[in-house]
Amino acid sequence: MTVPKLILASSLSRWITATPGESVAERTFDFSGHTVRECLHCLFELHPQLRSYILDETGTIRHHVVAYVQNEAIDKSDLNHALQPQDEVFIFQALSGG
Amino acid sequence: MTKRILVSTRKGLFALHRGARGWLTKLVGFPAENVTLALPDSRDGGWYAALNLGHFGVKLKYSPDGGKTWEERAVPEYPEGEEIVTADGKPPAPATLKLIWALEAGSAAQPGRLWAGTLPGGLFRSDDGGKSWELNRPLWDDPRRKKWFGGGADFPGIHSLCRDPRSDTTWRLAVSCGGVWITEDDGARWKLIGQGIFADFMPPEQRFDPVIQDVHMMVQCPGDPNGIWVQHHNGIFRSTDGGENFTHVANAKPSGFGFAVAVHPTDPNTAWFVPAKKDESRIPVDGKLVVSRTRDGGQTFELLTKGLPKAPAYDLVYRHALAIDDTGKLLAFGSTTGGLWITEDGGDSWKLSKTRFPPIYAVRFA
Repeated sequence: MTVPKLILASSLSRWITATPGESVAERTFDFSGHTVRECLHCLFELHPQLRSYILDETGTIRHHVVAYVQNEAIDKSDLNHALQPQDEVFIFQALSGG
Repeated sequence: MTKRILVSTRKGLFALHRGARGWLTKLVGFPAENVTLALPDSRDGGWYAALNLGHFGVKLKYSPDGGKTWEERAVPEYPEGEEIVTADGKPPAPATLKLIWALEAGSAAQPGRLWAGTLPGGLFRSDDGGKSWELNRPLWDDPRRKKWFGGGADFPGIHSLCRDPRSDTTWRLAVSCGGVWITEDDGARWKLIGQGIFADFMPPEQRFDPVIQDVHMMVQCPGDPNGIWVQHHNGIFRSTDGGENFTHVANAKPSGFGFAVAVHPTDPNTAWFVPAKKDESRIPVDGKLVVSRTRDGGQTFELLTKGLPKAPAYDLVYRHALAIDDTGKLLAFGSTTGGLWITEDGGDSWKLSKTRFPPIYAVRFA
């Protein structure tokens, strides 16, 4: 069965451990979620500490973090963005500064 | 137990220990990450490290074994719907954690108790070693809190937390900009103290208003807790009555401006400062890095220069980057340009660490 993939950039996957890992690759997860929120929920079940790295305390995607679905950044506050089974959700950091 | 100096920097947490031929540096956590503050907890020997990761927010980590391993801890969270309201004309903004700006442990009789002062102005308490936090409502809900405003930051922040050694439930704190406060019942009620501190840069009617004072740093003498020193935006102030009243120390040399202050552990008349040119300049006066010391309650100051660089030296020392140990002889301070100086004779002579550090935010003895 095809399910959405959640791809976590290395800048985030290195924080799966409390001390950041060196040379950590991006991580890909298969989550049977129907929305971005459900996929993130699955991620946070596996790695609870990542919640605060991706979401701010109001529950929206952090100012300098982006989620791409089908090559488009989703609205940071729209975690209910619907996913198709073949979708890939890319979570990575915004490029801030020069 | 071997004494260590914890150095929090823009690019990691370092610990120095005294070897036979001097102080040796070791990176003990978070290489390349922004470590803003560390707290060695004498109750269990653990170390807390506060990080500000920018993109990924503020984090708190705990090491039970001197930095060999680290665990994730929670950070203070403002309850939903809370707003920062300031007195400087900024529109209200949602209250979210910007920085853990002060972190202190409770007494030996309060294992797991931590207090955290934050930007944008909330005080938080943990009773489980930082696994959970609760906003101190009495201070947050005090209407006078809305008279606070940011100093160098966009929002006000609590940077100094002093636990009174005479009482587990008495704490004093200082705010930039929001004055000096005391609780004698573990945070249930707060009293605004700090009479006598003044801010020449404010409109005349507000200059002596205790609630708008831009305290940069406040320290309390452990052996004589009525002795309190404040390095303020407008100068140095001293209290001999536990912070109720302050007098201006007008004789400070080479300037009264600065961020850091340390007080002797048993002699409240002895304090150290790292002065700078006020206030938009923020560089050492005449480009020369010095430490000033008073041993008579601020009547006179000595300029301590032995072992410090000759001019030009543009090292600035942040508020948490000057530390003193419990002997009163050992002090260390770190600068924005990565210099760390240590004295073992109360400041008479200093030695520069051979390590060139990233910009230093905080220094503490463990």
